[in-house]
Amino acid sequence: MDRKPGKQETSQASDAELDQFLSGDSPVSKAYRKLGDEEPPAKLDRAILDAARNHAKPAGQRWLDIDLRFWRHWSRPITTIVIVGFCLSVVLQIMQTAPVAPIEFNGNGSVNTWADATGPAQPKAPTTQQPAIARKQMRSTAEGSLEEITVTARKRLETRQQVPVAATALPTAPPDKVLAEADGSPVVDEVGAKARHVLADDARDAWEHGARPTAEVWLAGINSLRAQGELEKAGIELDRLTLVYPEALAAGASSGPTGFTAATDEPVPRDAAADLDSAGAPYPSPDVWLAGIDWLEQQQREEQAAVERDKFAQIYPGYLKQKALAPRP
Amino acid sequence: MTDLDDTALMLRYADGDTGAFETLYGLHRAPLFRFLLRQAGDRQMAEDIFQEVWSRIISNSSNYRPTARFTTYLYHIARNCMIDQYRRAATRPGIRNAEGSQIDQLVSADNPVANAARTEMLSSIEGALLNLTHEQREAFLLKEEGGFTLQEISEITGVGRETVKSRLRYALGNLRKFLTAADEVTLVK
Repeated sequence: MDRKPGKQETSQASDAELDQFLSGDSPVSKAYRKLGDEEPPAKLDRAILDAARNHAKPAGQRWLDIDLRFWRHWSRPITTIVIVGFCLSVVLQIMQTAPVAPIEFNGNGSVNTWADATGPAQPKAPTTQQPAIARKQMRSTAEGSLEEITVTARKRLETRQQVPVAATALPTAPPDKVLAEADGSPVVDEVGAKARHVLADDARDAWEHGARPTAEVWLAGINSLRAQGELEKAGIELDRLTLVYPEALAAGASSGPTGFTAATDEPVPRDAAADLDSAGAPYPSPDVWLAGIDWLEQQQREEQAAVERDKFAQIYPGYLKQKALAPRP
Repeated sequence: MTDLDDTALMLRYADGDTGAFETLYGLHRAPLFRFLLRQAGDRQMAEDIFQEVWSRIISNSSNYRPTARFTTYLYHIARNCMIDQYRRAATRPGIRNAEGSQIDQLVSADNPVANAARTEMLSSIEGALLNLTHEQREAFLLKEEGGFTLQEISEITGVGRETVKSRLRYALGNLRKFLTAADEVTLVK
């Protein structure tokens, strides 16, 4: 076979030849090593060594290099995180300091709020929230304590009779049915929407997470009010009670929003819960709640009383302390 | 001097010990220079690249991390500098062209001047080296001057181990062929 002129001939060494070369015994290696030992010129050596000396830093400054390297490597991620964190904090701050919607009652008994007028930028009141909370509470307690202390709420709302509220029999309807009816109650919807805007954030959160008096305690407090002759306040408290525990309204849901009172003259302490609008908000007044707790203690149910005190402190933080400091008449 | 010592010397230099650098430089200056000289085939270019390599070593000394052998680090930088130099010069080292090697052209030539040049070139392994492809010559020189293993050559050049083996086989085969031809020429003379 003829070779093409001008074309480089390529030939491969065998594995044995390659191994020999790698071990340094190849004739090619030996021939290569016969070449002269060229070295860089002296002036080049001097230039390089001078550059090395000029670049060398005094010992002890290396930590600065490490820090600079660290900063060069992480500067962008750190800067990005800081900027994003700052923006988030600003946004959260703005959201938290958004004005609370003032509440107005119009003539037909419904609630107008500034939030409704300004649209979704303001916290919108979920009108079914309160019944949902009540349902949750009911499911956990309906089989227990509530079975023992159901109030005669329907009678109370219809007649406003000024008789001590008594624990009587269970509601005739099963809890689920009661709650289903309560969901549609206009009273519940209306007051739930109102309360949504008037409760301080912390207290509202605590309330929605279950920091509320049991119906039994609440009733005990109401009874205490009645025993003191505070019948009007007792009526207001009973209205609130029936909103939170709507089984009391079950039978009378079709009768409409009766008995709702939009004002009270009870003093509200200036603490974290001072933003509570006690007018119409379905929260027990602190005195009623405390009276209920006292009643528990009288019953020697210390454990339940302690639980109630904890919940009370979440809704009315600082109240007890403020009360203790207040001058006694 | 082991490579562990090289690393220690480099770290000492990074800490400001210029004596450590002088030792390190003394150990590697000659092999590195020969590698560059025979790879580039041009003394001036080799000196430029040589200076550039050590300048990079010096300027990056504070960032040096002993993640590999120092010699691997050194020759990797050398290779990068050479590539940069090629790009700047827009030339490739060696004497190849599209029609084949200059030596092959000389072989096919039929005049006294060409024959004399052929004889001179074939008599030198340096000329035979320049007749190799760039990649073959690089693999060969890394082994001869750097003393690298197949795996290390693979890491420096960024190709697979089998590719390095293949390049070395071709390099050895071609060098052997030229050496044999040189022997024949010597005998004829």
